[in-house]
Amino acid sequence: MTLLSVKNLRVNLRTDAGRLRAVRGVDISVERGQTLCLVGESGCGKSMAALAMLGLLPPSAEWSADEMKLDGVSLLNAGQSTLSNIRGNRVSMIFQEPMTALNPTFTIRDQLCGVYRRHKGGNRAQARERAIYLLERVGISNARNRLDQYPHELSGGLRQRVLIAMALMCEPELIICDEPTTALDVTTQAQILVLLAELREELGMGMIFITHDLGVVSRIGDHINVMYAGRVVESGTRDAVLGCASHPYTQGLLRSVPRPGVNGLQSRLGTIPGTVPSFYQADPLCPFRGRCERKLPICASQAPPVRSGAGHHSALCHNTEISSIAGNSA
Amino acid sequence: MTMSKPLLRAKGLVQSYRVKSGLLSGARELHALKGIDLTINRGEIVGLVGESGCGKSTLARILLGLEQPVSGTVEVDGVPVTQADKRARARRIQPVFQDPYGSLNPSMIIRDIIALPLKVHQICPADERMRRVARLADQVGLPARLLDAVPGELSGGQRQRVAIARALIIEPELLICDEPTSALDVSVQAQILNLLMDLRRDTGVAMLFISHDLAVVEYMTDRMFVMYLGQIVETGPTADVFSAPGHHYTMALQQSVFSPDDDAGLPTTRLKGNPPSPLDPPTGCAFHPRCEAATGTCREISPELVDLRKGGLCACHFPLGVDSGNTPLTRSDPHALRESG
Ligand SMILES: Nc1ncnc2c1ncn2[C@@H]1O[C@H](COP(=O)(O)OP(=O)(O)OP(=O)(O)O)[C@@H](O)[C@H]1O
Ligand SMILES: Nc1ncnc2c1ncn2[C@@H]1O[C@H](COP(=O)(O)OP(=O)(O)OP(=O)(O)O)[C@@H](O)[C@H]1O
Ligand code: SF4
Ligand SMILES: [Mg+2]
Ligand SMILES: [Mg+2]
Repeated sequence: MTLLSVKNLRVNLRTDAGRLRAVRGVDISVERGQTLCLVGESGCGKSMAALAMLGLLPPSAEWSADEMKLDGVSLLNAGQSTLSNIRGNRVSMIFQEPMTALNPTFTIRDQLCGVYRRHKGGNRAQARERAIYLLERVGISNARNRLDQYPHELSGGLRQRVLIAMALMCEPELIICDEPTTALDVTTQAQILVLLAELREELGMGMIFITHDLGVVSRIGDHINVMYAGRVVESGTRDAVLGCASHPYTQGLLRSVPRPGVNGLQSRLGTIPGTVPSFYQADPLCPFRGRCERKLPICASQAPPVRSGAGHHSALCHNTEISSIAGNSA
Repeated sequence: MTMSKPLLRAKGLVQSYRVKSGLLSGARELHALKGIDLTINRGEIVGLVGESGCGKSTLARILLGLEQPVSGTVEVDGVPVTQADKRARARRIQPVFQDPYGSLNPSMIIRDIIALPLKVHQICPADERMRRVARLADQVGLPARLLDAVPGELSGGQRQRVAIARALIIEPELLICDEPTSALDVSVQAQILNLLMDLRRDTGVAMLFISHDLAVVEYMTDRMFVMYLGQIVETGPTADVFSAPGHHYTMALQQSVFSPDDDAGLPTTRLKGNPPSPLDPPTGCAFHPRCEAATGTCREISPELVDLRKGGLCACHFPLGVDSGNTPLTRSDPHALRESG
């Protein structure tokens, strides 16, 4: 059974300038043992979508969804106590900024053991043993001594490892990682990605991985949702979306990334002229039409249809054909 | 006929800072640069890569004259520059920094921000200034209507264009670009990288291009330097460094780069351990605790930067791909080197 299924998720934020429509009808589906990547550029609504699923939106936000099921059980009308039992326990999150996610005034021990005892009970010693086990598992040497350190005493890479350990304390079924490696060096990033992939495998978790880096997506994703201006414009297996990109935005993104072995004297990078549309207007038409080089007259008058092909590959666009190979991965 | 002098030559740059570390230990020396040699030729784009804290920005600030090194010299056109020549240096070397938000005065309009260096250097009369601003805005692809806006009204990519226009307006010979696109989205980054390539082609401006993104460095640069903990560990023509890296750290960096075309899964070989603290640098080769090929020699003796191949230098006792005798060596087999060497 699908681990997480979300249909038509919407998130609005009340701002001084009016209602900002951050997430505009997004579907998300994650299987056990698989990774779904949410990819897209800054501001497209990746974090807001993730926070909505955890009930962690800012107070200025309001959200709705047609369906939100964890393991087949609807969360839409669940009470506060059910939700807080799910959060941090069955579903946990690794945040974009490790410093804001760790409390600077508590030691590593307090933070790790705190979540465990809140959800699993158990005594101090059990919590401590699990903390040490996980710190070692995420590659922190000297775990016993690290327990009494404070977050600011650790390097960025170590902090991110502590956050991963913390997210795993209660053996979650689903882990949501919001750009967990964006602030790290490439060599540290590679270590953390390998670690997350191993842990996902080992624990059979489902994973949602948020990133703007298409290279990272290609290494860690089973399934990809490409987001643009609050909507999923293309979705499919990794091979389908990266190998046979069908939406003009996905194609543009892929052309703009410098590739290994290519020098600027030989070829120019593709660009996507223009900027994202306003977030304040409700707009059923294609959000990409102002920047699209394949735009048709119909794009300015009718909402784009969902075009689908083999292996759940789909794109929201008037002018595309899904030509993807039948999904051979996942 | 003599060989033309490099535009910029840095020799033996050393920098250290006094930092407080911990409660009991008093102030300690942090060695940020440990003897950096670097040249940049006219019209050349030179890359500088290395992990966070290895000293890239420190080097940039010294080249710009924003801070003084403990020792070492910087020559422009073969002439040593000193603190006294600050203004002259600024005319020839201009910065483009990472943060397009912080580096522009929020209360000034764009037109005045771009024109400011002309005013400071008293280069031309006011009416000519405005003509130059308009021309440059056009060159960097900044819509003319934005010239009367303030930075807060511009997107990240537009602000970076302003920073580039401001740097170029006095027609410098060298741009020091410190992570100029790290804060930008990939589609915006592509526009800025194309712009920098065009500017080099059209104006011949040279660049030091600092980035931690290897794919970007490969795309942008002619020659590159790899830094690790305050030292240059490898340098050479970019194409050579990528096709046959000599240093094990360069190799590790390369294996950590992911392209959207890969479906290789996650890397199987990856760098072990964490970056060392500059306050407590390892003995011998600074990379040895993380290096698969490290031997006792590496723990004790710091390797010199020596010829690896034509035009390439590498600081490693057991460089990759180097035949140490009659045993042929492959890049993936550094241990064979150790045994035969
Ligand atoms: N607290 C807030 N109040 C008002 N608007 C917000 C708030 N947080 C985010 N937004 C806006 O909501 C939209 C979606 O933001 P979100 O953080 O989900 O983007 P993102 O895709 O995660 O971007 P990034 O890659 O930069 O993290 C953006 O337009 C953003 O400006
Ligand atoms: N003013 C200063 N006082 C004390 N230490 C400093 C100072 N400036 C830099 N450092 C230290 O010197 C070392 C080199 O820093 P630098 O900013 O040059 O690194 P970098 O390679 O640019 O890193 P990044 O990729 O994170 O920008 C770091 O350990 C840093 O903490
Ligand atoms: S619907 Fe039209 S405007 Fe939108 S991406 Fe497709 S072709 Fe372009
Ligand atoms: Mg985000
Ligand atoms: Mg820096």
